[in-house]
Amino acid sequence: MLITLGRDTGSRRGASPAETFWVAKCSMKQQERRSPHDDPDVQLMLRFQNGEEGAFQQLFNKHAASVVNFAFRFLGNRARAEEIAQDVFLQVYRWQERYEPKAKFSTWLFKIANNHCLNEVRRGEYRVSIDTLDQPHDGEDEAPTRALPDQEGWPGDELLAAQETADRIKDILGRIPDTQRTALLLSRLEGLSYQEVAGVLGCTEKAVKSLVFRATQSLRVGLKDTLNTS
Amino acid sequence: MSHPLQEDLVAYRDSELSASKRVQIAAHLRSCMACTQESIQLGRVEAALASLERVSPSPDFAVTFWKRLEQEGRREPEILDERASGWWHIGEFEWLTNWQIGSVVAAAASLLIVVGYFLSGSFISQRSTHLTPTTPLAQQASIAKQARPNIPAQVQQEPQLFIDYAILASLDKFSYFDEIPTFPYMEGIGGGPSGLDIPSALRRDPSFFMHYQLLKKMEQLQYLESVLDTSGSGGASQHS
Repeated sequence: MLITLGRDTGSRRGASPAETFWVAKCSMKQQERRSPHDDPDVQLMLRFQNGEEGAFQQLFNKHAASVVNFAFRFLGNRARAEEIAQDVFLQVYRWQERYEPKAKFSTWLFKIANNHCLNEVRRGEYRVSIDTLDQPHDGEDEAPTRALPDQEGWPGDELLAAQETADRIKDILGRIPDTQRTALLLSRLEGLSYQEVAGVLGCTEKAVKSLVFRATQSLRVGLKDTLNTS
Repeated sequence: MSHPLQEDLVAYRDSELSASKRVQIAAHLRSCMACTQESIQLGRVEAALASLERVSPSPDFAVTFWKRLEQEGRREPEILDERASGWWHIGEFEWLTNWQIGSVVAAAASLLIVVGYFLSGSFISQRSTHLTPTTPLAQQASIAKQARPNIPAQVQQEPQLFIDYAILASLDKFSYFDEIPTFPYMEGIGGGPSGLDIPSALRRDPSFFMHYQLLKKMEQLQYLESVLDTSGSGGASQHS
């Protein structure tokens, strides 16, 4: 590895010790991420395959919230997102024997979740709900769902501005192509690497890079006014 | 270094660039105000996105899940369930398209009907005890002729079709056959039900080939149905 680093950095002049250290760390990270068996969740899944039901429970407890969040951001409907998340884990349970540790467990999990979300979107029921999320419906007294962190103590203007930003983001997420939405949500909100997102979408890392960029650009354009005044 | 591509700048902020490229961009940002501003603006977009609430599953989420798991967890995926159809994009089934799924369903249904028919009392009880899986088709047809004297003549003449006759007689039991789409390349299958020409699309994509027999079978069924329809009374009246 040191030889490789020497070749990578040799052509650059003036690389600081900190940069050199970062290069080494980054290279190690790239090597580490290539082995699915290093993923503790893969080990849990393999234990589940061998009949240890408790391992599945651990996976459920660890990832349920992430899958609910992803589905909620994808669909814009919280109740349906929870149903989808349950469907996803039911499928993980049923497909335990077919599971092969070809990638990180989260890649497999979000691939399943993404397919379920795409099926929902293609049924054509959720475009509208994304657009109208947080808007009170006729005859409903229930307060609209908030999409912001704990808001206690927020000044009124800031709260309104933040809510407006959140609404705009949801609107943009509902309008960009599905693949861009998936790439953006998984990489930015669920912390997946481009490599993992590529595994979920079945494309190359380069394609993911492009998808994330285009989604970011859409957000940037859509939030232009908000960002310029912040 | 010239200004980095915006795409690279986004990837840089996501720590997704190669080590060498990251160092280059970091060095460039230290000396380029325009790119630094660009990076700051991207940071604001990221912050806005990150400010979205992370919803917590409702209190009864886990309870509901474990209850569902207990009730339906060990059941095999329902491939006819619309919501589950996307599962065929996973793993070894990734190459299946919707119409191929329909083909697989039809194949499974055909197999079940054929096996069910021959195992059921409706055939065995009426038919002699000599019928075994190794009985030649001609003999099967002869036996069946005795058991069902009103079988159309064309079916009797073509023993191979007799197996399909059982399927036809039970078509009303799986009406979803009608929902199976017409495949564009079927138009290229010439020569009628007994034609052996393999469409070029199948030659180009061997993965389709496993479905070819099924498609031929479906085509054969349509042909047999038309034969029975034009045979007047007799067998046609049994499956209409």
